[in-house]
Formats: sequence, C-alpha cells, structure tokens
Amino acid sequence: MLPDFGKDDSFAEFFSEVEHKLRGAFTAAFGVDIGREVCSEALAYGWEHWDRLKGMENPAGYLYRVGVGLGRKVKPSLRVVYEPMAVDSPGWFEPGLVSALESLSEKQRVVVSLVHGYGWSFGEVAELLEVGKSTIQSYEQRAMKRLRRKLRVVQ
Amino acid sequence: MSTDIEVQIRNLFEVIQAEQEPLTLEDVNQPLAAVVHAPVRSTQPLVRRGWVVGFAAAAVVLLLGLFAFLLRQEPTEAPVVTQPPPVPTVIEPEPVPTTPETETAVELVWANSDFSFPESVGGVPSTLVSDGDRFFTIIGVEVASSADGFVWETLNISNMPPANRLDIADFDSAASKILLLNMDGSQARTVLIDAAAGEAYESILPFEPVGAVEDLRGFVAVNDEGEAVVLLYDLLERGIGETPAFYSADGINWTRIPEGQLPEGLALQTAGLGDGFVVTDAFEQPSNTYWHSPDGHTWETVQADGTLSGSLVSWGDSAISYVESAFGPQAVSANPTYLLTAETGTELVVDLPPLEGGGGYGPVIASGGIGIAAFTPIGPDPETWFVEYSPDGLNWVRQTLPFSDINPFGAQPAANEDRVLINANGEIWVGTRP
Repeated sequence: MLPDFGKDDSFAEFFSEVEHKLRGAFTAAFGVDIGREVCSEALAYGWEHWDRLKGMENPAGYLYRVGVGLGRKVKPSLRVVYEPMAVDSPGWFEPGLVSALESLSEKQRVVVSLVHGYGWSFGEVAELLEVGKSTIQSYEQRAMKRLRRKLRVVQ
Repeated sequence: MSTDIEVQIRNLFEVIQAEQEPLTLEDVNQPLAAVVHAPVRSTQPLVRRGWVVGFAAAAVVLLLGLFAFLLRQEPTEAPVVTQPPPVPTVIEPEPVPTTPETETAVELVWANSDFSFPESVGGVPSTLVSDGDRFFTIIGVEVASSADGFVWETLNISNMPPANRLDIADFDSAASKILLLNMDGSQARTVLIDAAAGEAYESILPFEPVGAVEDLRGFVAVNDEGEAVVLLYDLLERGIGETPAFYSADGINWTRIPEGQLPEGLALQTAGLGDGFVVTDAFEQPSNTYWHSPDGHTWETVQADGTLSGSLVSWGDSAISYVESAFGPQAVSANPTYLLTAETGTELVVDLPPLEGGGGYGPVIASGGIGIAAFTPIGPDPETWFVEYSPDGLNWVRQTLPFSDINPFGAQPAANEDRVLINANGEIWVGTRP
C-alpha cells in the first residue's frame, strides 16, 4: 500500500518520473551506496516541502542541489561486484575504468556517467544540473579526454 | 583495448543498475529526525534514518512481544510457567553509509616560520602562493618552495626574467606552476614558473594598449587543468576603459577572448573553478551578476541572490566570495551574509551565521583543504587584526592574530590542506589546526 501523502497524489507522480533520474545522478556523483541514500534523503526533503516544490519550474533540479549539498565531501565509490569476463565478451569493461571515473571531478563524472552510462541527452543533463547545454558538452569532452589519458587509449 | 570507452561506461552502469535497487515511496516516507537544509554546502550526516528505522523496528518487535506475552496469561489459575516468555528480538540498526560530520571550527595555532631569503637577494619574501599542495614565495628572481611553511628550499629556475620585469600585479598557482602578471612599462606580460621542471616562460599578452601600460592592472587565474585566464583593466578609469581578456591552455601561449563573451568596461576579477573559471566585478559595484566558463572559451552570465562583494578565490572545485543580502550592507550583522559557492557557476549560497562579537565578515584571504580564512578589519582596537577561520564554510571562529601592522592587500595569504600562511611584512606566519 502506498503511504498517505495527504495533500494530493502529485508527489507520487513526480516521484515515479524523477526517482531513476535523481538516483542515477547521485550514484554517478557519490557512488552506488551513498548515491542511493542521498537520493532517498533528497526525495524525502521533496516530500516534506512538496507544497513549495510543486510550484517550481524545475523541482528535480532543485532536489539535485539539495542532494549535492548532503553528499558533499563523500569520497565516491563506484565499486561493483561482477564476474571477470573476457575482453571481447559483451558487457566487458576495463577494470581500471572504475578508478578512472572516480578520479574525475564530481561534475565531470556526473555528466559522463549520465550521458554514456545512462544514455541521457546533453539537454536532459543540462536541465537537471541547471546549466547550459554547451557547458555539459564541455564537461563531457574534458571528462572523456581525461579518461582516455588515464586509460591510455590511443585514438 | 577493443571496446570504446563509451561502451565500457554503459557496460559498467548496467552492472551498477542491476546491483542497485530502485527507491520506493515507502523508502522516502520516513519521518526525518533532523532538518534537511535547502541547497547549501552542507555536510549533514546521513546516518539518522537508518537508526530511526532500526529503533522503530525494535520498538515494534518489543510491543508485539509484550502483546503476545499478555495473551498467554490464564485469567483463572496461577500460571505454571513451563517455558520462558518470548524474548523480544532486538534488531540491530542496519549499517548505513556515513558522511563526514560538520567540522568544528577551532582557532588556528600561529607560529613564525623565521624564513628569509639570503641578504644578497633582499632577505624579505614577497609573493606568497600555494598550488593547494606546496607553498611558494618569490623575491626578485629567487623562488623558494615549502611543504609546511617552516622548511624552505630555494629552487633553481632557468630563464627567469630580469627582476625589473617582475613587478607583480597578480598571481595564481596550480600543480607546481605559478603564473605571474606583470606590467613592465611597455608590455603586459605573464611569467609562468614551472617549479617541477625548473623553467620559467615569459609571454607578452597579444594586444595594443590604448593608454599607458603602467595604468593597467589585472587578475590571473589558473584552473585545475593548468589553463589560465588574464583579465586587464585600466586602473585610472577603474575598468571603465579598455578591459581586454585572455585565455591560455598552458599559461604560455595566449589568445584574446572574443569581445562579447565577457562584459566591457568593468574591472573583473577571476578564479579557477575546477576545470573552468568564474568572474566577478572586482570593485563591489552593486551587481548580482557573475560570469562562469567551463573552459575559458564560452562564458555565460549568472544571477546571484544578492550583491556580490569582496574577493574571489578558488576553494576545491568551487570558488567563493561573499554575497550581501538584498536587504542591507554586510557590516550590519542583523542582515544575512552569504558565501557564494559557485561550483557549477550557478550554485546557491551558504547562509553564514552572525559572528560572535558582531561585525561583518571580512574579505576572504585564503582557502584550501584546511578551509577558509578571512580578515576582519573592524575590531575594538584598530591596531588589532582578526582572522575568521572556518573548516567548512558553516562553522566559524574569530581569533586575534599574533602579529600586527598587516597590510591586508599585501599579506598574500595562502592555504593548502592543513595550514594557512600569511606574509606579514616579510615574515611568513604559519597557522595550523591544533
């Protein structure tokens, strides 16, 4: 049974629309475990202040900033448990990719993870982070350049 | 490697998504035991809800156990206890990832480094700067470096320009490189000192000044990528005249930032902002506008919730400056003062608490991993200088400096992970956390 949110059901609709987006962004920013926890905290804040948030132009972007404030100073960890696999097998990724992503700045990691990890468009990322699309493109280009350098990829 | 990085990132996040359970409405429908702040630089601990859940669950189990126990009582005869009553199971609170708590502001411990250059080069250190790790000080063509502010080594730098071309207008540092801005009478120049390589590179900024070069002043900033921006203004006209801006990918080769990217006719100051830059009006003109660039090429105008004031310095991936509220001057403690944290160039601000003893926050003088230090030029004794120190921008402590006669515009403080250095009339003082 869904909890009683009282005033209206619009928060439930908002929740189902943005939960996966915010969780993806916070996971990219703060890691698998803390990212989910930060997402939960940010959405709880959204629920408590829904009367005010629902009038905002971009409540998801606002909650993203709420979560970023909560998770600040957390050392990100994208460590996951997975079966070692052959280089050419589907689903393979370089073992050094995780630490290379963790070494990026928070913004670079969020952008590159949302764009390439979750398949978001630059426009979608720009809307959540509330910055211009050209800024997102710049972050993505720099992040990829740094990743290639870290992983010693020759183009 | 046979798979594109983009595909590998997708593969990694497929594993992450498979491992991570989605949140449900029930997950967020927990009473919050503490106030979650609006978007500010906050380090609220995340542990509370786990404990709330754990203790709530334990309380429920206790009540159910007690209820079950009462149901077992026979009303007519004295009970023969054949087995112990059910012992409530105490559920341990589930482990929850933790974040660092907000740090307590404690007074820094100050000590004189007793460092000076040999008398042959003038003795007194002048420019003082940190790249976030090591400290550097310069006098003439001599450069010295220190990790802790106490033990210094003089560096051998090849190709240092003559000392008469090192009348330094501004400077910044990142990753063992120090960028100096200098107006030598005929040209506006930069000097990049690569401390690791032991080399200096002198460059002339590509423009033809309308007036005298001596009247030009400017600001430089180096970002985490080693890219640099120089913003010049005409001192006599306080920026109303020519205000050329320059970008360099390496601190050596400069191109002029095209007109229209940054405003004309303002004296602008700049600071590195992670991989980008942020720019504000240097002379505290009433404005809530600042400018942000992710790369030094494209700039966007951003509106702050108040009037930007004071200095602008980098702080980790952010840059900081004070923002006066729209309701009054910052010296009136009843009015809120804010700290701009412009990580993306659009971040909001931290609401600073009133200072004990009254007065307003002074200009930020240094920031680094250790936190932020700011001068308070308003005290009961005009000869006494105070510094406010904060490890996190939220908690602040005010302390009296153990030295006097500081020129706040020439003190050139610098900070790294664990100390703040101030150049007080040629003496380098080191402030550390106890």
